[in-house]
Amino acid sequence: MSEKDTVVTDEILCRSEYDIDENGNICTGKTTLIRRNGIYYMEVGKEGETPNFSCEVDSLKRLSIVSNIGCATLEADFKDGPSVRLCRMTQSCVKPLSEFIKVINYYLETGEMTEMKEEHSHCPKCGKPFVANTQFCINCADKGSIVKKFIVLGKRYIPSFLLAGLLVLVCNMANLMIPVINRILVDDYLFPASEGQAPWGEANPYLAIVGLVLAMFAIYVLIRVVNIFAARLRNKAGTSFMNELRTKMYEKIQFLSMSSISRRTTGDLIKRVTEDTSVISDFLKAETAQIIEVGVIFICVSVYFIVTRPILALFVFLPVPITMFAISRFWKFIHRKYERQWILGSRANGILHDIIKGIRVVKVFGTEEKEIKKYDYAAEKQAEISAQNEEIWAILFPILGFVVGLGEFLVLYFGAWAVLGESFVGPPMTVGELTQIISYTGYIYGPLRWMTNLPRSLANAVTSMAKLTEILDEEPDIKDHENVVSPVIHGDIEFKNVTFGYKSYEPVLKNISLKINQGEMVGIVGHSGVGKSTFINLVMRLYDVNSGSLMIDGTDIRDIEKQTLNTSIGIVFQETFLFAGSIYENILYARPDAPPEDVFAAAKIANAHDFIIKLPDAYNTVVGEHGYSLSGGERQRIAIARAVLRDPKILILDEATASLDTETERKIQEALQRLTKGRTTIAIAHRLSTLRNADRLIVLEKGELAEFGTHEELLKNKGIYYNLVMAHRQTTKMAKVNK
Amino acid sequence: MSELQTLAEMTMLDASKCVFTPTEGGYLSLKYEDKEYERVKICRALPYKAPDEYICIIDKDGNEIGILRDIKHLSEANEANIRAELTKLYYCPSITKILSVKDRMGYQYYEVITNAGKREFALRDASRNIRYVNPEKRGAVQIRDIDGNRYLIDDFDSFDIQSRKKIEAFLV
Repeated sequence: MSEKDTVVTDEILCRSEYDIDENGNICTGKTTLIRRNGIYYMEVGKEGETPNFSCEVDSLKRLSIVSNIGCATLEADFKDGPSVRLCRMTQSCVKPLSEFIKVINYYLETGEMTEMKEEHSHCPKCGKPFVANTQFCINCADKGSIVKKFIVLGKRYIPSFLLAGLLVLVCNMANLMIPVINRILVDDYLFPASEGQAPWGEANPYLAIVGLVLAMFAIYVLIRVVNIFAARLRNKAGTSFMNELRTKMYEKIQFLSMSSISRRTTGDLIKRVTEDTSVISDFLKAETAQIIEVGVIFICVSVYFIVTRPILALFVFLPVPITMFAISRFWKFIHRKYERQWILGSRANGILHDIIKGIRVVKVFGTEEKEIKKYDYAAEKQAEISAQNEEIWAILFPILGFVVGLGEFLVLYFGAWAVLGESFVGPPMTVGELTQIISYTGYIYGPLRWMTNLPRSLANAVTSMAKLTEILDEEPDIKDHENVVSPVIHGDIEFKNVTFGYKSYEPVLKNISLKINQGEMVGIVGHSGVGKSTFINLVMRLYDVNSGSLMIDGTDIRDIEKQTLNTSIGIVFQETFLFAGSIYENILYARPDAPPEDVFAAAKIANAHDFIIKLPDAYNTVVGEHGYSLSGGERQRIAIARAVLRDPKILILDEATASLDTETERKIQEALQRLTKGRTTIAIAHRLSTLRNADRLIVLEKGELAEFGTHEELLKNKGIYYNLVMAHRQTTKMAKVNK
Repeated sequence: MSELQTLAEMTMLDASKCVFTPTEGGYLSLKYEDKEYERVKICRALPYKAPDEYICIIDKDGNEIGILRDIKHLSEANEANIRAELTKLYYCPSITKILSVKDRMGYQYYEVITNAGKREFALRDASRNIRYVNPEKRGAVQIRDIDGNRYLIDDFDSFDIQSRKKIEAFLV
């Protein structure tokens, strides 16, 4: 371990980082795994300095990362000697470092040295953090490619938008003709007339005037009508696209794996499907038209000015950068204010929501006054900010309007000079030409106001696109590979050295090996949080094991087609989730093509039929959030009916600990007994009455399989199960049970 | 001890009987009366309201040994040892200046200077992750980034105005 040994070069196998030093300062620390003279060593130390810790890997028992508050520690347990805290790190280093210790821990367990998986929490290119739990860097994400993807998604609607765009183009060109007609009217007819000159040679000038006015009118009408068509095209295409996006998103979310869904909140997913799709659709409906309009006007008017009155053009365009700057600062400022208002509003709403939902608690504890004060305070703050914002808006907006209109004043001033004969702005101008120029100037400044908002709306639209593509592009990590089989499931379940953790570096289940036979009823017991729900999550294949394998009828669960597996598994859970719909629909959910007789039979087996037909609407009673409220026991029995109808080979029961009256409990027990006959059943048992019916029991302790056997065998062992049973008052009852 | 405390079988540790010693491996050990605990875990019951009071002391199997009413009741050496351990477990550097805040795609990217060095981090859902530590007594502000790291602004009101403006909107 001394430096002299490194006359032969150390081979560095893998490295990782930590970043807090002994004094609590940020540093660059490295943990390194090296091979020196055939022996593996681990070194820990700051970059560029001699390591402050070094040991032979074989002297270790296990490495672990202990999360604290805002930081984590790397700790080493030794085969001989006390444990040591090696180094500290911020939470950002936890994930990558855990891959490092995985390599060493795996070696310590199996003797095999594997390669380290490079899991970064920060983008290697730009150093910015990745989106949580992904390897997706927002900074480096190619925005162009996001937009391109969207264009491909929406390619069916492109023709509509293009046509709408063309129509808008035509409208705007037509619009630009109006000041021209106006000029002709003023210069060739009205002005000379006002000067007393006879209108130049025409037989009936009034006809010509009427003609011109009619032309203007016609153009107005044309513009309006064409705009309506264009708007309809856009709206139709935009809304259809939005609906298509929503459907695709919804479908994709259904197929995503549990790990992907559980790391996001329900609110987030809902927002993506409803709001983000709206944002994109609105952008396409409104902004695309504006972009074309502004583009056309800007280009045409600029060309006109530059060609005819270049010096005046200067005065028109000079204030543009100033006004754009002013407008963008204004929006930035006001946006922050509105964001604050929004946060306060949502807070006040949250309080209201809470109070109303928890009204029973409020009334029982008598805290009505306190709650009223709380809401009052929040609502007042929101009102205060709203009022402030309105004031600011009322003052600033007109000022902004004035600044924006500055260009028009300049043009009027210098244009008037030209009309009056002074001509540093060019040859003398007619009154008609001046009115035309003023109109054009107005045309430019109008869209300017809107244009400074464009970067923000574009950014919002791209953000929404990114949020949608994140889901649409995600590959579900539990999916069928090419060679899946679809056997008839009988119900043999075998765990072979299964290790699993929701976070792969924190295993919940460790090295579980056991076999459950077809038709057996097995109960899982253990303390709260030991991994019982995790165990059944694996059997239902909501997650895949980290190591080892789960076999169903001798085939690895990953080789079985998901659809086949799903149809063979039935569940009855603690929280009975009934969808909004009728009782009939809820039971039918298990097998949509089942005839009514089967549904009634299932309900009868579940001891539910009797109470259902006593309800006024019987099986058509609507349950769920807006429907009839059923009692806990009734909901459970409907869930059992659902499971019965499914006729599954494997049944998963996660028991309710809610106490029910003895009669209902007995009914449920009866129903469950009928249900579990002949099916492989795995039940998380809280009620000893369920344990009584189990063929064998699995006892989990600290994530490992502690005991596995029949009720009698385990009692004889006087181990954990024995203690659990003795702790329950019904010991005498249990002892009497004769299986 | 109130009736409730007796019912809960809660142990309030007598500070004069506690001897906290750092171990070779970098942990903290406790000798209380005649019992020795080679590795104890400590945590603050009220980290925001009373960081130096009500410290829960737990043995290495996860069973609570007792609650220490106030660190300051300990002797100097013991107080120093417990504080060292608390500093190891609670990491929350103080931000002295916010250099920049960039808004990108729903995330905010911060560049700050803390008393532990320069840091860069990203934030999501700002209104939930930037908050007054004690809402009734505005002053200290805590920021949590997407990795779970925490940062503290000791006194928001005395923070420099440039930095304040950048996150004011989220503090309500």
